[in-house]
Amino acid sequence: MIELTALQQDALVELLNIGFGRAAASLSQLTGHRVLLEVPQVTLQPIEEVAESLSRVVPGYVASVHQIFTGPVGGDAMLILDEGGAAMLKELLTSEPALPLAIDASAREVITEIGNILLNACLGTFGNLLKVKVSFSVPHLSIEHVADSRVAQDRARGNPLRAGHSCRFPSARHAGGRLHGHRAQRRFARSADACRRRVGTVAELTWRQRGRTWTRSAAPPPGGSRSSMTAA
Amino acid sequence: MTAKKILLVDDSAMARRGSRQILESAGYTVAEAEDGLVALERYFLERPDLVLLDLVMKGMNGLDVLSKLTEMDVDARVIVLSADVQDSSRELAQAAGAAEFLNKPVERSALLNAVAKTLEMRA
Repeated sequence: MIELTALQQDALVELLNIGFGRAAASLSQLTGHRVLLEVPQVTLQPIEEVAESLSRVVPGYVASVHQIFTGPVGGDAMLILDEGGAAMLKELLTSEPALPLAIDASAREVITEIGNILLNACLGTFGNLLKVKVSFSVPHLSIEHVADSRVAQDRARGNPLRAGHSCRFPSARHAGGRLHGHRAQRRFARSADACRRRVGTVAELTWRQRGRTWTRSAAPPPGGSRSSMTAA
Repeated sequence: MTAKKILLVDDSAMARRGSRQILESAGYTVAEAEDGLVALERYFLERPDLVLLDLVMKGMNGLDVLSKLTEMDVDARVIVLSADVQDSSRELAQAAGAAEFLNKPVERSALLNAVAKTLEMRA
Protein backbone atom coordinates (compact mmCIF):
# COMPACT_ATOMS: atom_id res chain seq x y z
CA MET A 1 0.00 0.00 0.00
CA ILE A 2 1.31 3.49 -0.80
CA GLU A 3 1.79 5.96 2.00
CA LEU A 4 1.02 9.63 1.79
CA THR A 5 3.77 12.06 2.78
CA ALA A 6 2.98 14.67 5.41
CA LEU A 7 2.83 17.31 2.68
CA GLN A 8 0.41 15.24 0.59
CA GLN A 9 -1.71 14.60 3.67
CA ASP A 10 -1.79 18.32 4.53
CA ALA A 11 -2.65 19.29 0.98
CA LEU A 12 -5.53 16.80 0.79
CA VAL A 13 -6.93 17.88 4.15
CA GLU A 14 -6.98 21.49 2.99
CA LEU A 15 -8.48 20.56 -0.38
CA LEU A 16 -11.23 18.72 1.48
CA ASN A 17 -11.67 21.58 3.92
CA ILE A 18 -12.42 23.91 1.06
CA GLY A 19 -14.63 21.43 -0.78
CA PHE A 20 -16.62 20.58 2.32
CA GLY A 21 -16.78 24.26 3.20
CA ARG A 22 -18.52 24.93 -0.07
CA ALA A 23 -20.86 21.96 0.49
CA ALA A 24 -21.59 23.15 4.04
CA ALA A 25 -22.38 26.65 2.77
CA SER A 26 -24.82 25.14 0.24
CA LEU A 27 -26.47 23.03 2.95
CA SER A 28 -26.74 26.07 5.19
CA GLN A 29 -28.32 28.08 2.39
CA LEU A 30 -30.80 25.29 1.62
CA THR A 31 -31.90 24.66 5.21
CA GLY A 32 -31.44 28.11 6.74
CA HIS A 33 -29.42 26.60 9.56
CA ARG A 34 -25.82 26.87 10.57
CA VAL A 35 -23.55 24.01 9.58
CA LEU A 36 -20.34 23.54 11.58
CA LEU A 37 -17.25 22.03 10.02
CA GLU A 38 -14.62 19.88 11.71
CA VAL A 39 -11.16 19.04 10.42
CA PRO A 40 -11.31 16.36 7.69
CA GLN A 41 -9.52 13.06 8.15
CA VAL A 42 -7.82 11.39 5.20
CA THR A 43 -7.41 7.65 5.36
CA LEU A 44 -6.05 5.04 3.00
CA GLN A 45 -7.62 1.65 3.44
CA PRO A 46 -8.41 -1.51 1.50
CA ILE A 47 -11.83 -1.40 -0.14
CA GLU A 48 -12.98 -4.45 1.85
CA GLU A 49 -12.71 -2.43 5.08
CA VAL A 50 -14.65 0.62 3.91
CA ALA A 51 -18.16 -0.76 4.28
CA GLU A 52 -17.37 -1.92 7.79
CA SER A 53 -15.91 1.49 8.71
CA LEU A 54 -18.98 3.24 7.36
CA SER A 55 -21.39 0.91 9.13
CA ARG A 56 -19.77 1.77 12.46
CA VAL A 57 -20.58 5.45 11.92
CA VAL A 58 -23.92 5.07 10.12
CA PRO A 59 -25.47 1.81 11.32
CA GLY A 60 -28.67 0.37 9.90
CA TYR A 61 -30.47 1.39 6.76
CA VAL A 62 -29.27 4.49 4.96
CA ALA A 63 -30.24 6.68 2.04
CA SER A 64 -27.21 7.10 -0.18
CA VAL A 65 -26.79 9.35 -3.21
CA HIS A 66 -24.08 8.02 -5.47
CA GLN A 67 -22.39 10.04 -8.19
CA ILE A 68 -19.47 8.98 -10.37
CA PHE A 69 -17.04 11.71 -11.36
CA THR A 70 -14.57 11.38 -14.21
CA GLY A 71 -11.67 13.34 -15.65
CA PRO A 72 -8.09 13.85 -14.49
CA VAL A 73 -9.47 13.54 -10.94
CA GLY A 74 -11.98 10.70 -10.97
CA GLY A 75 -13.71 8.41 -8.50
CA ASP A 76 -16.98 7.65 -6.77
CA ALA A 77 -18.68 9.94 -4.28
CA MET A 78 -21.58 9.18 -1.98
CA LEU A 79 -23.72 11.18 0.39
CA ILE A 80 -24.91 8.79 3.09
CA LEU A 81 -27.76 9.77 5.39
CA ASP A 82 -29.22 7.72 8.19
CA GLU A 83 -33.02 7.44 8.28
CA GLY A 84 -33.40 10.23 10.85
CA GLY A 85 -31.16 12.59 8.92
CA ALA A 86 -32.95 11.93 5.65
CA ALA A 87 -36.35 12.53 7.28
CA MET A 88 -35.18 15.76 8.89
CA LEU A 89 -33.75 17.11 5.64
CA LYS A 90 -37.01 16.38 3.86
CA GLU A 91 -38.99 18.19 6.57
CA LEU A 92 -36.60 21.17 6.56
CA LEU A 93 -36.86 21.60 2.81
CA THR A 94 -40.54 20.90 2.23
CA SER A 95 -42.20 21.69 5.59
CA GLU A 96 -44.09 18.40 5.14
CA PRO A 97 -43.90 15.46 7.56
CA ALA A 98 -41.59 12.70 6.40
CA LEU A 99 -42.82 9.17 5.74
CA PRO A 100 -40.65 6.05 5.45
CA LEU A 101 -38.33 6.68 2.50
CA ALA A 102 -39.50 3.57 0.65
CA ILE A 103 -42.96 5.10 0.20
CA ASP A 104 -42.10 8.82 0.26
CA ALA A 105 -41.43 9.90 -3.33
CA SER A 106 -41.11 13.53 -2.29
CA ALA A 107 -38.38 12.69 0.24
CA ARG A 108 -36.50 10.66 -2.36
CA GLU A 109 -36.58 13.62 -4.75
CA VAL A 110 -35.33 15.97 -2.05
CA ILE A 111 -32.49 13.69 -0.95
CA THR A 112 -31.38 13.08 -4.53
CA GLU A 113 -31.25 16.80 -5.32
CA ILE A 114 -29.47 17.60 -2.06
CA GLY A 115 -26.94 14.89 -2.86
CA ASN A 116 -26.46 16.39 -6.30
CA ILE A 117 -25.87 19.87 -4.87
CA LEU A 118 -23.54 18.79 -2.05
CA LEU A 119 -21.45 16.38 -4.11
CA ASN A 120 -21.13 18.89 -6.95
CA ALA A 121 -20.21 21.69 -4.55
CA CYS A 122 -17.46 19.59 -3.05
CA LEU A 123 -16.08 17.92 -6.17
CA GLY A 124 -16.53 20.99 -8.36
CA THR A 125 -14.40 22.92 -5.91
CA PHE A 126 -11.70 20.27 -6.34
CA GLY A 127 -11.91 20.86 -10.09
CA ASN A 128 -11.57 24.61 -9.66
CA LEU A 129 -8.60 24.36 -7.30
CA LEU A 130 -6.79 21.72 -9.32
CA LYS A 131 -7.59 23.50 -12.62
CA VAL A 132 -9.09 20.38 -14.14
CA LYS A 133 -12.52 19.64 -15.62
CA VAL A 134 -14.53 17.09 -13.66
CA SER A 135 -17.57 15.48 -15.30
CA PHE A 136 -20.44 14.09 -13.25
CA SER A 137 -22.89 11.26 -13.73
CA VAL A 138 -26.57 11.73 -12.91
CA PRO A 139 -27.01 11.18 -9.13
CA HIS A 140 -28.51 7.84 -8.13
CA LEU A 141 -30.40 7.28 -4.87
CA SER A 142 -30.37 3.94 -3.03
CA ILE A 143 -32.04 2.95 0.20
CA GLU A 144 -30.11 0.07 1.68
CA HIS A 145 -27.93 -1.19 4.49
CA VAL A 146 -24.35 0.11 4.34
CA ALA A 147 -23.14 -3.46 4.06
CA ASP A 148 -25.09 -3.75 0.77
CA SER A 149 -24.03 -0.34 -0.53
CA ARG A 150 -21.86 0.67 -3.44
CA VAL A 151 -18.60 0.29 -1.54
CA ALA A 152 -19.57 -3.21 -0.50
CA GLN A 153 -20.36 -4.02 -4.13
CA ASP A 154 -16.92 -2.74 -5.14
CA ARG A 155 -15.42 -5.09 -2.59
CA ALA A 156 -17.40 -7.99 -4.02
CA ARG A 157 -16.14 -7.19 -7.50
CA GLY A 158 -12.58 -7.25 -6.24
CA ASN A 159 -11.86 -3.63 -7.17
CA PRO A 160 -8.40 -2.49 -6.15
CA LEU A 161 -7.37 -0.67 -3.05
CA ARG A 162 -9.08 2.67 -2.62
CA ALA A 163 -8.31 5.78 -0.66
CA GLY A 164 -10.95 7.60 1.33
CA HIS A 165 -11.24 10.79 3.32
CA SER A 166 -13.31 11.75 6.29
CA CYS A 167 -14.59 14.93 7.88
CA ARG A 168 -17.25 15.60 10.50
CA PHE A 169 -19.33 18.73 10.46
CA PRO A 170 -22.00 18.80 13.15
CA SER A 171 -25.05 20.72 12.01
CA ALA A 172 -27.38 22.81 14.09
CA ARG A 173 -30.28 20.43 13.50
CA HIS A 174 -30.38 16.67 13.34
CA ALA A 175 -29.72 16.17 9.66
CA GLY A 176 -26.72 13.93 10.03
CA GLY A 177 -25.06 12.04 7.25
CA ARG A 178 -21.80 11.16 5.67
CA LEU A 179 -20.13 12.15 2.43
CA HIS A 180 -17.91 9.37 1.24
CA GLY A 181 -15.44 9.44 -1.61
CA HIS A 182 -13.04 6.84 -2.80
CA ARG A 183 -10.51 6.71 -5.54
CA ALA A 184 -7.85 4.33 -6.72
CA GLN A 185 -4.80 4.94 -4.55
CA ARG A 186 -2.48 6.04 -7.33
CA ARG A 187 -4.98 8.68 -8.47
CA PHE A 188 -5.36 9.74 -4.87
CA ALA A 189 -1.64 10.37 -4.47
CA ARG A 190 -1.55 12.22 -7.81
CA SER A 191 -4.37 14.45 -6.58
CA ALA A 192 -2.41 15.20 -3.44
CA ASP A 193 0.64 16.24 -5.45
CA ALA A 194 -1.44 18.30 -7.87
CA CYS A 195 -3.18 19.92 -4.94
CA ARG A 196 0.10 20.82 -3.30
CA ARG A 197 1.35 22.41 -6.53
CA ARG A 198 -1.84 24.25 -7.43
CA VAL A 199 -3.48 25.56 -4.35
CA GLY A 200 -0.76 27.31 -2.43
CA THR A 201 -0.02 27.33 1.24
CA VAL A 202 -2.02 25.67 3.93
CA ALA A 203 -2.40 28.94 5.85
CA GLU A 204 -3.82 30.74 2.83
CA LEU A 205 -6.28 27.96 2.13
CA THR A 206 -7.46 27.79 5.71
CA TRP A 207 -8.12 31.49 5.68
CA ARG A 208 -10.02 31.34 2.42
CA GLN A 209 -12.13 28.42 3.56
CA ARG A 210 -13.05 30.04 6.84
CA GLY A 211 -13.91 33.31 5.19
CA ARG A 212 -16.40 31.69 2.90
CA THR A 213 -17.95 29.18 5.25
CA TRP A 214 -18.50 31.12 8.39
CA THR A 215 -19.74 34.35 6.91
CA ARG A 216 -22.46 32.49 5.01
CA SER A 217 -23.70 30.42 7.93
CA ALA A 218 -26.98 31.31 9.60
CA ALA A 219 -27.44 31.33 13.37
CA PRO A 220 -28.60 28.02 14.91
CA PRO A 221 -32.23 27.82 16.02
CA PRO A 222 -32.94 28.26 19.73
CA GLY A 223 -32.73 24.86 21.38
CA GLY A 224 -31.77 23.17 18.12
CA SER A 225 -30.15 19.81 18.72
CA ARG A 226 -26.73 18.98 17.34
CA SER A 227 -25.80 16.07 15.22
CA SER A 228 -23.13 15.24 12.74
CA MET A 229 -22.57 15.25 9.05
CA THR A 230 -19.46 13.38 8.15
CA ALA A 231 -17.54 13.45 4.95
CA ALA A 232 -15.13 10.82 3.83
CA MET B 1 -49.02 43.34 -20.60
CA THR B 2 -48.62 39.58 -21.19
CA ALA B 3 -46.57 37.77 -18.59
CA LYS B 4 -43.21 36.51 -19.83
CA LYS B 5 -43.01 32.75 -20.16
CA ILE B 6 -40.08 30.76 -18.80
CA LEU B 7 -39.30 27.12 -19.57
CA LEU B 8 -37.73 25.22 -16.66
CA VAL B 9 -35.57 22.27 -17.73
CA ASP B 10 -34.43 20.04 -14.87
CA ASP B 11 -34.72 16.32 -14.16
CA SER B 12 -35.29 17.06 -10.47
CA ALA B 13 -38.92 17.74 -9.61
CA MET B 14 -37.76 19.42 -6.41
CA ALA B 15 -35.55 21.83 -8.33
CA ARG B 16 -38.35 22.63 -10.78
CA ARG B 17 -40.79 23.20 -7.94
CA GLY B 18 -38.41 25.62 -6.18
CA SER B 19 -37.75 27.67 -9.31
CA ARG B 20 -41.42 27.66 -10.27
CA GLN B 21 -42.44 29.10 -6.90
CA ILE B 22 -39.93 31.94 -7.18
CA LEU B 23 -40.80 32.79 -10.78
CA GLU B 24 -44.59 32.58 -10.42
CA SER B 25 -44.48 34.74 -7.30
CA ALA B 26 -42.76 37.38 -9.45
CA GLY B 27 -45.48 37.21 -12.11
CA TYR B 28 -43.87 34.98 -14.71
CA THR B 29 -45.65 32.14 -16.50
CA VAL B 30 -43.81 28.83 -16.20
CA ALA B 31 -43.61 25.68 -18.32
CA GLU B 32 -41.56 22.62 -17.39
CA ALA B 33 -39.52 19.89 -19.05
CA GLU B 34 -37.91 16.98 -17.23
CA ASP B 35 -35.26 16.16 -19.82
CA GLY B 36 -33.49 17.58 -22.84
CA LEU B 37 -35.60 16.08 -25.59
CA VAL B 38 -38.84 17.17 -23.98
CA ALA B 39 -37.26 20.61 -23.52
CA LEU B 40 -36.51 20.99 -27.22
CA GLU B 41 -40.01 19.89 -28.15
CA ARG B 42 -41.62 22.18 -25.59
CA TYR B 43 -39.44 25.11 -26.62
CA PHE B 44 -40.86 25.12 -30.11
CA LEU B 45 -44.41 24.45 -28.93
CA GLU B 46 -44.48 26.96 -26.08
CA ARG B 47 -42.14 29.59 -27.51
CA PRO B 48 -40.88 30.73 -24.08
CA ASP B 49 -39.11 34.06 -23.64
CA LEU B 50 -36.37 32.41 -21.64
CA VAL B 51 -35.08 28.94 -20.70
CA LEU B 52 -33.72 28.00 -17.27
CA LEU B 53 -31.55 24.96 -17.93
CA ASP B 54 -29.87 22.34 -15.72
CA LEU B 55 -26.61 20.75 -16.96
CA VAL B 56 -26.42 17.18 -15.66
CA MET B 57 -29.61 15.38 -16.63
CA LYS B 58 -30.67 11.90 -17.63
CA GLY B 59 -30.52 11.44 -21.39
CA MET B 60 -29.47 14.61 -23.17
CA ASN B 61 -26.85 16.68 -21.37
CA GLY B 62 -27.65 20.34 -20.66
CA LEU B 63 -24.76 21.60 -22.78
CA ASP B 64 -26.08 19.60 -25.75
CA VAL B 65 -29.55 21.04 -25.20
CA LEU B 66 -28.06 24.53 -25.08
CA SER B 67 -26.11 24.04 -28.31
CA LYS B 68 -29.15 22.63 -30.06
CA LEU B 69 -31.37 25.47 -28.87
CA THR B 70 -29.01 28.22 -29.97
CA GLU B 71 -28.39 26.43 -33.26
CA MET B 72 -32.11 26.21 -34.01
CA ASP B 73 -33.01 29.64 -32.65
CA VAL B 74 -30.28 32.27 -32.60
CA ASP B 75 -32.50 34.43 -30.40
CA ALA B 76 -32.89 31.77 -27.70
CA ARG B 77 -32.14 33.20 -24.26
CA VAL B 78 -30.84 30.63 -21.80
CA ILE B 79 -29.77 30.82 -18.17
CA VAL B 80 -27.92 27.77 -16.86
CA LEU B 81 -28.84 26.82 -13.28
CA SER B 82 -26.58 24.01 -12.13
CA ALA B 83 -25.07 22.48 -9.00
CA ASP B 84 -21.76 22.33 -10.90
CA VAL B 85 -19.56 25.05 -9.38
CA GLN B 86 -16.61 24.61 -11.74
CA ASP B 87 -15.26 27.64 -13.57
CA SER B 88 -14.62 25.41 -16.58
CA SER B 89 -18.32 24.47 -16.75
CA ARG B 90 -19.30 28.13 -16.54
CA GLU B 91 -16.93 28.92 -19.41
CA LEU B 92 -18.27 26.03 -21.52
CA ALA B 93 -21.86 27.12 -20.95
CA GLN B 94 -21.11 30.72 -21.81
CA ALA B 95 -19.21 29.67 -24.92
CA ALA B 96 -22.25 27.62 -25.96
CA GLY B 97 -24.48 30.69 -25.66
CA ALA B 98 -25.74 30.85 -22.07
CA ALA B 99 -26.57 34.40 -21.05
CA GLU B 100 -26.00 33.68 -17.35
CA PHE B 101 -24.65 30.83 -15.21
CA LEU B 102 -26.13 30.40 -11.73
CA ASN B 103 -25.29 27.84 -9.07
CA LYS B 104 -27.74 25.81 -7.02
CA PRO B 105 -28.97 26.53 -4.46
CA VAL B 106 -29.86 29.93 -5.88
CA GLU B 107 -31.12 32.92 -3.89
CA ARG B 108 -34.50 34.27 -4.97
CA SER B 109 -33.04 37.73 -5.68
CA ALA B 110 -30.15 36.32 -7.72
CA LEU B 111 -32.51 34.28 -9.88
CA LEU B 112 -34.95 37.11 -10.46
CA ASN B 113 -32.15 39.58 -11.23
CA ALA B 114 -30.62 37.21 -13.77
CA VAL B 115 -34.01 36.57 -15.38
CA ALA B 116 -34.83 40.29 -15.60
CA LYS B 117 -31.40 41.11 -17.01
CA THR B 118 -31.59 38.37 -19.62
CA LEU B 119 -35.11 39.32 -20.68
CA GLU B 120 -33.98 42.93 -21.09
CA MET B 121 -31.25 41.76 -23.45
CA ARG B 122 -33.96 40.37 -25.69
CA ALA B 123 -36.08 43.50 -25.71
